[in-house]
Amino acid sequence: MIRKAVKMLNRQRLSLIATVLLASLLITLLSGCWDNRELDSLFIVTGIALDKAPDSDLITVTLQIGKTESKTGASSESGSQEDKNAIILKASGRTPLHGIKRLNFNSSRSLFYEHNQAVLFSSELAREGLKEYLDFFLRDYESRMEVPVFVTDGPTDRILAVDLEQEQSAGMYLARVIQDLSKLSPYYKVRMLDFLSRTREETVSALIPMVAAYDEEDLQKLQICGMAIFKDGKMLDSLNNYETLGYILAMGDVKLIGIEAQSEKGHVIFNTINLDTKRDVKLRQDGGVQVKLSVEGALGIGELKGFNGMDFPKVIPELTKMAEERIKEQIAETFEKAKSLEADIYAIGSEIHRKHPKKWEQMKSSWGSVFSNIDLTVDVKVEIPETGKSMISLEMEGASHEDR
Amino acid sequence: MLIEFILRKLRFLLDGNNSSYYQTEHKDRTYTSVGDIGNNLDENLCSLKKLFVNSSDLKIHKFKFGGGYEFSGAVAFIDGLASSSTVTEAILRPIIEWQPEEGPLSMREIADILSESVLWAGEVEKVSTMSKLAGGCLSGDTAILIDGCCHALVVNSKGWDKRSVAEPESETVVRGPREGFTENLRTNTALIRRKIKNPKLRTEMLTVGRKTQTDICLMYLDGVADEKVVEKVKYRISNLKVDSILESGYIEEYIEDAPFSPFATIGSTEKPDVVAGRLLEGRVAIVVDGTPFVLTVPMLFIEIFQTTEDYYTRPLYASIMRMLRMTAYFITIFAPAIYISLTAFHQELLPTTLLFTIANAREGTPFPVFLEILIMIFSYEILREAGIRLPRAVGQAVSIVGALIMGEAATSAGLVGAPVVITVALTAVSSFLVPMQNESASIIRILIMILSSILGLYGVAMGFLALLLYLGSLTSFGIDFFAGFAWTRNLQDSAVRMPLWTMVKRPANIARGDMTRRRFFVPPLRPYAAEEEDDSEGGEDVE
Repeated sequence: MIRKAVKMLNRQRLSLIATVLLASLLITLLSGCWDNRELDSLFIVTGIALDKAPDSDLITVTLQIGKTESKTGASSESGSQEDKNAIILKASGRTPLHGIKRLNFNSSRSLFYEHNQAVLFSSELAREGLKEYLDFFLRDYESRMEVPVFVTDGPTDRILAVDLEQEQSAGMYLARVIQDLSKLSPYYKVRMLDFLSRTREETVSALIPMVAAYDEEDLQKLQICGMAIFKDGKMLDSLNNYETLGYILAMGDVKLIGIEAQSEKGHVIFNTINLDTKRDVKLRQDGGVQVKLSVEGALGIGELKGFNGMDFPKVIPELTKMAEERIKEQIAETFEKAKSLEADIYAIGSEIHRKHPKKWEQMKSSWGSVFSNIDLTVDVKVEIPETGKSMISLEMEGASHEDR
Repeated sequence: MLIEFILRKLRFLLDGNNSSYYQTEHKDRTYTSVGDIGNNLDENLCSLKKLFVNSSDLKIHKFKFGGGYEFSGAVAFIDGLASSSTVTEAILRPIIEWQPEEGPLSMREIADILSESVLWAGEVEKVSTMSKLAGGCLSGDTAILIDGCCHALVVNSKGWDKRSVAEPESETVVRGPREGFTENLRTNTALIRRKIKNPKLRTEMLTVGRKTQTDICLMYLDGVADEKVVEKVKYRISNLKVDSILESGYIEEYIEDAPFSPFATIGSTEKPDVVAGRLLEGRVAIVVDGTPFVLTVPMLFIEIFQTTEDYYTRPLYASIMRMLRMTAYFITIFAPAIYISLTAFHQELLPTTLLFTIANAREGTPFPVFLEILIMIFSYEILREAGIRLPRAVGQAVSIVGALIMGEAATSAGLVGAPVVITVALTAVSSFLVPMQNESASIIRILIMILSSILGLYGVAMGFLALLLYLGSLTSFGIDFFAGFAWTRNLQDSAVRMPLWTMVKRPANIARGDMTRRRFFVPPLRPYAAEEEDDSEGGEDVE
């Protein structure tokens, strides 16, 4: 019967079938890059760190790899408490990719970058300039542009090697921390994309969160300790957490942060309910720039200490004044620092570029000096409509008989 | 397309091989050559015995009757098929007790008198050939032969043991009628007729099978069913050159449009209300003697998601359940394939935490993920098959062994990862939501899995596309199989079951002629409207 069938399918038909088969095979090539990678043949990279190599002009690439372990079978014998959550791979090379290619030779599985959680640069390397090392992150298909970037205070490998209690690895921890902080203000979240685009613009200075590791008793911990200021791919200085807050207040879009204020009467912590900043940039006749920031919004009282013997109606204007002064002060302080570094972290230059493109062409070359002479005025107007569950504190007057 | 082409060639070849069949066809009807009934009783009985080759269940009883016992006759019936009480009470007793009043009678008249005024039977046939007599006996009737008369009477005395109407086991309902078809053809047609009391419900008898002589009854609503479909069904069934039909599955296989398709293009059910509903939509039912499964044609793909209960419960809930069934059908075909492509090709699509969870489970398992899933699905199919064939009590034990021991042990031994077990379990459970297309799903699932293991999600997408194209190419008795999803007027009963009062027309692609179910598109909201207008009557049904 088969012989009969073959007879039936004459030559023409056979060639048609062959064409169809061939075409359907060729279709598979159209699908771009595809590959079968079994999960247990992958090293899932959760953090990449670049550092200066000691005693040479090379750089060190440190990869943090999330450890997978089967919870079944033989694991109970080998799985001791001392086991670390992550594997650290290290290699040095002239560029990041050079180092990574070397790493391929000493890892048992292929490296998988799509789930990378954080990219870290050591402050030492950052101060020398990052521009030449960023090309890899721009070009590589697998690494995502949404990955948050950090500058480390101290060597990077220490931070990646930190064994955390809560999270599986330092990379995951940092990604979570940034996710959490971006609920306070979106300016905390600096992705690779933001960093690259800001570095590309000549006059804008990029900010990257800084992270430091410290020991607390037996536990190792990580902490965001401010933001590093970059200019033209080089790290100039850093803002501490207090100054970072001043930056965030100046940029507006504040979600929920705490503002601390103190006077001789007492101490208060405000929660921002909504706080927005409007910026007004004006070019002066003499070539200078005038920036007016008006901060408006509502604050809630998070905690009160002191104000002994005062009653509530008197306290509120007092607190309002304190808050306004505090915000003004904080914004100005950070601005002064930026001015002294000639680093336009507020992207004021871009705004002038947008609004006065012709004048910007003239100013562009000397923007650093123009920026350092910017005239800043800050207007703050806040209300305190909310006091939490209680209106008065125990130390204030009326606490004894007027319990509300 | 390619496969279709090859199949067409194969079909052609098969047809060619069967050409010798036509010549042998008539040889089998040997008893047609026995001839007519003669005048001599003994000779007739002798040839009857010869015809049945002295079969032990052919009972022949001779007797004498008439006032002075001047006539002699005999009854012949098959023991077990004919009811013995009918034979004695309704046939033998009246004949023997009969006192002829008039003078001498001719033998020819006796037969008429017996059938008209003596026998206590509702169905008496006068036959003159031996073959009809034998055929009557074989279908449970009793033959009366009278000496000197060249005609015989075949009296209805069917009375074999049969299962009573019971709840069908393959289709159980929470709400709705619980009666199911039995193995008896007449019981089944009666069950359907009891639902549709309309003379336009036509029943046409056909007999198929050279050896088995199986009765088949076509049922359709005249003026509603598409005549072309009726003709097609009749043509295909009457041209069946088969020697045996034991179940409606035989018929199904012989008459369907796409015999090599994994999808069934002919519906079957065990419930009279389902058949009645489909008849009212303009479908044709094929009732086969000897099986409780009644076929309905044409069948649409959407029918696998429709259950009778959809029409008995509230429309909102029924619609949600239908969409759930569709989702489940999608899951049961694509879940393993999507799992394979996500874990072996597109790990970047998984959230990081989930990726680590799956990676942890994968760690240390010996097989690639495709093989892992294949093993699990294979063992699931084994367990399912084992559970079906075994007695119910043992079947439960099998499922416990399968579910608890196999799944649990396989994961704890590290042979397969827990997410794979979950995926396969989900696949298995989802398949139970659409029991009608279970077979097709389990085949297509494997094909899509193979595609996904080679090409990842791209393969799944291509498989899905190919599946859609294939479904779009199928027909059932000339009606597009996939029509229920098309954007037509009939969408009120597809993915969503609209309230019954919105279904004013019968499905346009199935019914012909009398299309109206209900004259007006009026919601039954007004409490006093019933007296003013009667909008329940259909279009042309004026009896």
